[in-house]
Amino acid sequence: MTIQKIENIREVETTRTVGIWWNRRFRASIQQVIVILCLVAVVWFFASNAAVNIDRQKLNFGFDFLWREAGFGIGESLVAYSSQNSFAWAFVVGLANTVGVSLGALILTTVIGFAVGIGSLSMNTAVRRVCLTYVAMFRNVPLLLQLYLWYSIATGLLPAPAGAWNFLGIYVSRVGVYLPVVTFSPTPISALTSLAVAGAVSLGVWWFILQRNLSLMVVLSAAAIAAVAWIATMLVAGDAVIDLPVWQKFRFNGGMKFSPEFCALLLGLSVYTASFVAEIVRAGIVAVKKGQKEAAQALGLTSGQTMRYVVVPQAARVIIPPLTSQYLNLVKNSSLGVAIGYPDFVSIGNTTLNITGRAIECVAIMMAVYLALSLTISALMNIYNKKMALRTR
Amino acid sequence: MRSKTKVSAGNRLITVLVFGVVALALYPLFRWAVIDAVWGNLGPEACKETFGACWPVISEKGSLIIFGRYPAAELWRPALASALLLGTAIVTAMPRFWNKALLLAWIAAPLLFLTLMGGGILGLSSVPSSQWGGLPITIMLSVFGIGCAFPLGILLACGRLSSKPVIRWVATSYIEAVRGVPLITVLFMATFILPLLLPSGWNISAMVRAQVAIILFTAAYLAEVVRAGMQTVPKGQFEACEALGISRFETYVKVVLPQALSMVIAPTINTFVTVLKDTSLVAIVSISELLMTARQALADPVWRTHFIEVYVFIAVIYFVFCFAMGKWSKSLERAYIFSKGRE
Amino acid sequence: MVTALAFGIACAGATTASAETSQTLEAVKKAGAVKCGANGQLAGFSTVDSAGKWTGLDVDFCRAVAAAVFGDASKAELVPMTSQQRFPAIQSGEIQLLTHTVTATLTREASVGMLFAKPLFYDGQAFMVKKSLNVTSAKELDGASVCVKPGTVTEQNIADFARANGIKLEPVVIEQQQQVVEAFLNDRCVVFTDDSTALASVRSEQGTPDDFVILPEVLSKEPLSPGVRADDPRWFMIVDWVREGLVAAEELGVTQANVDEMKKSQDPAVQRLLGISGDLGSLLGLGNDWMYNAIKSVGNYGDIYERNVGKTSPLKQERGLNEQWKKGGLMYANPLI
Repeated sequence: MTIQKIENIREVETTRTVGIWWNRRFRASIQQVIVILCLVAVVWFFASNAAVNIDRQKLNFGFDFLWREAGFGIGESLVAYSSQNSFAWAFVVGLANTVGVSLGALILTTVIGFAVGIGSLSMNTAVRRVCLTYVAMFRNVPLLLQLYLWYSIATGLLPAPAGAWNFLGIYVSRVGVYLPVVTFSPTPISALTSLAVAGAVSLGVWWFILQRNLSLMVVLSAAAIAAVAWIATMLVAGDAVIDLPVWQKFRFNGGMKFSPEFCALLLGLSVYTASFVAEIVRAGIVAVKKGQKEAAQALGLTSGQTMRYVVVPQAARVIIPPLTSQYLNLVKNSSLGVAIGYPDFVSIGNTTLNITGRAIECVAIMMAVYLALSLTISALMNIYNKKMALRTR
Repeated sequence: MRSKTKVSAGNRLITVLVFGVVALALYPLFRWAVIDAVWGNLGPEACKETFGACWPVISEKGSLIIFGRYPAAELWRPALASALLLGTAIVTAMPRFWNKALLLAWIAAPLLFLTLMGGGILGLSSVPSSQWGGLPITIMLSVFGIGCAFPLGILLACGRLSSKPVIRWVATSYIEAVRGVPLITVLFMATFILPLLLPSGWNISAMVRAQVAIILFTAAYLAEVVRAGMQTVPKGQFEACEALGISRFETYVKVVLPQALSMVIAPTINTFVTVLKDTSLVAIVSISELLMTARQALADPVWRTHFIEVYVFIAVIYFVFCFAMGKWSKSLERAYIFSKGRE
Repeated sequence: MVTALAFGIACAGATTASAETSQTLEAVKKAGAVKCGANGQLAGFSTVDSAGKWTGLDVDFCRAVAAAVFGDASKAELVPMTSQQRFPAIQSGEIQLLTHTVTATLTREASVGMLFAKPLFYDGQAFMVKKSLNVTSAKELDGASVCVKPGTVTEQNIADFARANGIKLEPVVIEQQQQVVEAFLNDRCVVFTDDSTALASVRSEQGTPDDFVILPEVLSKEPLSPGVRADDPRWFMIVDWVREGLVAAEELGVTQANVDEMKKSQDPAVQRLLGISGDLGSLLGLGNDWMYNAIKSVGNYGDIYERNVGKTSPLKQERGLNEQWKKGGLMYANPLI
């Protein structure tokens, strides 16, 4: 309050002695007005040119084209699509593909990144060297180059589909990776019996856990066991079948398909981003003072407990903010899928741009959607970050 | 005591396992790259027999990959131009050369680079920018990109920390908007849309538009790095400067920025590395930088199957540059932290 | 950066042209070159070798226009671009002429804002497969994956073909010409689809062209035409009439080899074409020797065809639809009077 008063007095004084030009507030507002004017001038310059150019070339401007029939096919999509759908729906398909590959890559990145990051602090020199080499190798080569390389390998070095590699019904070849899937056609009786079996199994496991006071990971594995039990019962009852991929003349029929474009993008994105995540994890763990670990051990905590209750919560506070920006980078980098033919959002935008000739609109849509996606992710991570920060204090 | 020997026995087992796995993985690679490989300046037939690497593809296509379609008789020009630009950058990397002469060098080097590449004066034949390609373009896009984005980034960071709401708002929204979108959409914007936003007749070449896109994009990232550094400078220093009657501009240039930047050496240089890697994206809008020329080399059907050799070749080039920058970052950081007696 | 901008910006200056002259022509003359957008990776139409030398049918047409404008075919500047980039490039004026094997369609004229000259090449989309598959008809391809370039009519045609024949085709969309070919050769896709001549071009480049079969079905009509921006009809006229002139020259028997002798011809049509009589060139705002220069530089339509895609070229294409109208083809020049 007093400082504010002194400021005010000083301002009045300066105004009186050297005139309004040296008044701080006045200068601040003048500067701001100038910035606004410049901004308006730049926007006006671009907008008026665009208007003139569009008018002179008799181009149409607007987003009405979105509701027209797209007329082009999309190779793979997570949501139903046919060429009779609208451009707008094609965009949705592209967005779903982008989100799909990003989610997959996020999980894979986290797994590889944490493993390599922790490994790079291993007591074992060999493990440490390997992890550090991994990081140096993959973070110093452009992602696009890595994607081209992965894609060339996926379509050039893997066997032709007729001679696909086969492990347990998983087929790996130049046309992609095909997994067997279980398809269900339950009757009421089989559904009930199998649910009962699964329930019994999970109850058993649950009781087992309660007895020994085990952690969350075990609960999760119990759930997995129950799911397997349920599927097994269904299979025995004959109400579920394993759908094996089978190579026919031109393609695999049945099974679940991951195209080479998807696989190359998923792998490339994960391997590349993981090298950054590893560094972040490493730095986060190093940031936890040595004394903390020693104190924990002195208190008789096992090394696992030390990690879980002492190191990880503290490291997490250091790790999460940069990790967020790596996740954001990953989502943005998934747009490079366009270079290897993955039908992501940018790829669909490009095709639409070319069919309709609406360059401004299509690029604007691309930018707006990515911006929205980025803002959403950083908002979510902020919430998580706040939660972590509260719990550890 | 007993537990220690137990640990080291386990440790040794892990070491052996890791070495085993690494050796298993590396041996085929080594066979491919060295033992079974074909070396020398031979034709594509020489590689028919072997499963190993076919290095003749590099000697055959090396000049196309490194220099693109620059006229064959004039290759000394892009070589010299790149060396000049790189040399200036390397000298700049060493703090003991930081003086006024270096500023002059930074004005001269880009001019000389463009003169050597473009020609048309001093008896050099004119080479249009559509024929430039390869490593010189990668170096140009990176060096110009970093050089111009840096001051712009500092300006944006100051804007974001400004007490004036309008300036703060403009800088913040610019930074957040640019950081929210992928570089490729910014490149599309520069390639497809920018010409529509300019008066007809302004014909800016695609290369310059891509360069501008890289600069504008990088500036937003650098701004955030610089801002983080500036926030570590205690408020008291501003107030002290004000009390001493030092102007705002001088406060920033002589007091705040030197401290701020030395705090964020690693993230700054990381951003530089990112710029270098990101220049490869202009290949998507058909500008012949290193990755694009490598792909052009692979268009030749007789060499098409040797893509791994070509990709490995340019990956090594990128790696050398990026890795060196990482090392530079470490040494610079050490020099600064020790000289200031921190930690 | 200021210097880079200074190098990059070639300000064409004030563009205050009357309705009589072509703005584009003025800009082209001022810049000293006609800029044409071309594929650059499609043998027969436009390719660029490692020395930066361009060849192909599209390239020759660009040179013919440059020769008609400047009297010098070397004033043609070819800009390589993907099919994605070509329309924004023509919209923005980055190039003045699009010779990129573009199919003329209604949507493109109306929506992209272009005008297409009469076709340089009549083509049709087809499917190519490896011979080892033993496929003889495209209708057997149910379930096959199809390699295709994005943003092309081609992409829409396969969706239509599949729908009409009740089969499923899975498109694999890859942007760069060379990469889409690579994917096909590597068995990423069973089928490669493009204009049949483009397929022949790809096939000719492989060591063993006989390993590939182009299936008999023709999916579409592909009149590949040079395009210009719609806002300058005078420039459109120049481009369109250079094309007519090249076709007319073949009909009149004026070739690259005999064009100097033909200057002495008594045939009034030849005289008008070569600018000996009449003022056709100046009506277009060009020199009267416009077609003489064009033919002298690249030859008549037949010369261009034979050199790049015809029997003597690696593509070995019959004239087919691209034969002169008197011989049963579609190449018919409007009268140059």
